[in-house]
Amino acid sequence: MKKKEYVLAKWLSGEVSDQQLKDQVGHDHVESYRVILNELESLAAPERDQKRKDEFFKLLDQPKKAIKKSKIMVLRPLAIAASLMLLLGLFVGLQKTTYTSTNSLQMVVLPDESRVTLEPNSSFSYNKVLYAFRRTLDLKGNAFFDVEKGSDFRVQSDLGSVEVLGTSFRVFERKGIFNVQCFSGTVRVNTDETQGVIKKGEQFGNQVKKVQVHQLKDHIAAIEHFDNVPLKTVLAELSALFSTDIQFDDTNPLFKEGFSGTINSDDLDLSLNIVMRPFELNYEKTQQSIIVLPN
Amino acid sequence: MRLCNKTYFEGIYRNYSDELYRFLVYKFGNPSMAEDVTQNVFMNLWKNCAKYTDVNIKSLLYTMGRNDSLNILRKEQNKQKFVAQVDGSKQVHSPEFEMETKEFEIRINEVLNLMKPLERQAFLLSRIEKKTYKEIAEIMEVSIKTIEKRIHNALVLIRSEIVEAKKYV
Repeated sequence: MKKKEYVLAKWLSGEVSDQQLKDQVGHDHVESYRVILNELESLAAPERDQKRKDEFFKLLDQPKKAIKKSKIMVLRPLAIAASLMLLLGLFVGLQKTTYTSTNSLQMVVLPDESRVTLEPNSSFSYNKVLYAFRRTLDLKGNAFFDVEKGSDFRVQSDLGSVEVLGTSFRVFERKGIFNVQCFSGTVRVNTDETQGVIKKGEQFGNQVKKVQVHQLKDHIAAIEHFDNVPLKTVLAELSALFSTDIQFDDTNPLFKEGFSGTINSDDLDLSLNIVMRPFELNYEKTQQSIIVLPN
Repeated sequence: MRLCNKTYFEGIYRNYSDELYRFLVYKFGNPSMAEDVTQNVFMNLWKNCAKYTDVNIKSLLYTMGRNDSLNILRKEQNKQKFVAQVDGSKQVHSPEFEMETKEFEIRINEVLNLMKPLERQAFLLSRIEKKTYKEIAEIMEVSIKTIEKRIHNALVLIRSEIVEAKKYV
């Protein structure tokens, strides 16, 4: 017989007789198989837990919408993996590195060797990954930029933005004032109200419309220059520079008057005197703050 | 569409789920896993009831059960333990084979656990469910020849493990 290997199955189904099987496997084997088969007759079908069986009827009662949920459960590992990938992508793509200066200057060198000098109490953030493709920074406060040549370099703030190719410039962004001073090259400035291009030695902003900048050169932060800037803004700037709270009566029209001059940011008292003298104002120093007294 | 009728579907479950359950127990050797797959199969059938208009429910259930269990088996291959129940009253004692019911139960369970799941499934569908090779071939979706091979191998294994080891006969 050719199909010897399945002869037992054929014997079980009656297609092969006892005698034929004996010829194949021998008398002893046939006897032991017969005994085993007899014993196997006692094997019972597995009993099913009736309670668990009936649980299914409860599942059927759920609205199909709820049932669909279970399909999501099956796909859950996939969904989790996909979300993680997405989150990771967003994390890498949107994660911004932020630098914040306290009460001193802080210089940051960007991946392309461009330099940002943050003035006191200022911060900027940028995306390290995307920077290679898009040189864009978000700025809060004041900073000096020395930009390497390359693609458009863009500084954004809430009040306006600056675009350059390769140059150095300073951005002043505080308390509603947005001002850009250009030290080399050419800078394009955009604000909500206006836009313009400034060259070396010029400044531009939403308060000062294209005025020459005096003695800016490359000396920054230690000296603050103001050209007809409202007093309240100057005080706000001093407050940021010295990390001090300066309180004054905001409703007094006096504080909207312009101040022109240069202040030394190393010395608080001297700076305060320079600013207040023209307005005949006095101030009082307390532990936490400086209170400008009404005249 | 009749399948989407809840009363009708409940009837299908009552009539066919036990058979699918046992089919899966023979394969998994694990009642709880078999119950899970059984209910999962019926739930999928219920969810997609509108899709199946003109089908043989029984063979559809077996197909779904087989597909569903593939994944589980892959995962649980090494964890399962087959526990066959022996009905003592059915035991036929023969003088040549003086094995106690308890002893046989232990040994047959050992052997069934050694078997490949598909061989065990084919063998028990034949021995317990009394299905013909043709029926088994249909529900397992393989040829009759393959079923014969699985049953033959199962029987050879049982003999070598029980009889040879014990030096019976």
